[in-house]
Amino acid sequence: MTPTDPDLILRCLTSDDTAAFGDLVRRHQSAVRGFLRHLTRGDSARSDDLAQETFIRAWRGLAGYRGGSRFGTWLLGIAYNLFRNERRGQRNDPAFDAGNEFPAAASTGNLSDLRQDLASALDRLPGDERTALALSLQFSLTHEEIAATTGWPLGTVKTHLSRGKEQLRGLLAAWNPSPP
Amino acid sequence: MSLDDPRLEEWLREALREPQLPDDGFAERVLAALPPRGQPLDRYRAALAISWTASGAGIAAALCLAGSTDWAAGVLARLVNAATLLTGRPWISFAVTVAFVSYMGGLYAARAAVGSLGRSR
Repeated sequence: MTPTDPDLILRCLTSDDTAAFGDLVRRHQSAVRGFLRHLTRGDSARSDDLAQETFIRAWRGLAGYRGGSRFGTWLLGIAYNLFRNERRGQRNDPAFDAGNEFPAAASTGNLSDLRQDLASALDRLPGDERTALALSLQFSLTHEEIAATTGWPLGTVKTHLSRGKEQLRGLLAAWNPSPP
Repeated sequence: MSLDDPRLEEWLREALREPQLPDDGFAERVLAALPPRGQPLDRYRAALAISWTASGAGIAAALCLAGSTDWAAGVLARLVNAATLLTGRPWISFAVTVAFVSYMGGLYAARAAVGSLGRSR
């Protein structure tokens, strides 16, 4: 039987079991690295460095994990804080704050065109709104979990989500809402 | 016509869907970089406990030098009153009270640190 996250955490805490922590890393690395790649807009080297630091911090602070949220959500919170602190150190991170130039949406009804336009539209959103949408739709986090992960008040989470969707609607207005 | 929420969310989920990233030795790199868990914190706690205890010991010595065998509350109260009367500065009462509470906190921190060090062995 596959041990659960709490089982592995308990083994880490009681006997400093690095093998158990290795299992946790393997289980959650994709989500943490994927989230950081999303935040860094695809910078895989930078996101992997941040992901490694995320797991090291998690190892150090494992005793502080109270189990109030899912372990994966807790890890995403550490990752987001690390990214935010790194960004503060750099003052401006144009890759996070401003998107790429968005080509005019083409309403040809072609599915790959739609995907391309969606990806471009997402890239064009401000960083916080993109992050909120990714946490909600890619990682299926609840509003409360997004608030816990990012440290934003619940109202801010809802604002970022609704503003992000509103902007996407505007950017994708050329697309007919009929099924692609 | 505008895109309704469920349709937009469905499209977004599709656009954001990413394949599972292969580990590619990532976990091994993390494990190789892991520090011994808890040691820096234990050292910090121990240093804190020692400094608190030293300051507490200073206060205890001052109380003993006051020449009384009535430990703690009575001596402390008399010391505070005497200090307030002599100096005419009521803030001394506050300072001594804070120092006393800190001393008790120091004892607690020392006990926690000793327990923590014992566990990490």
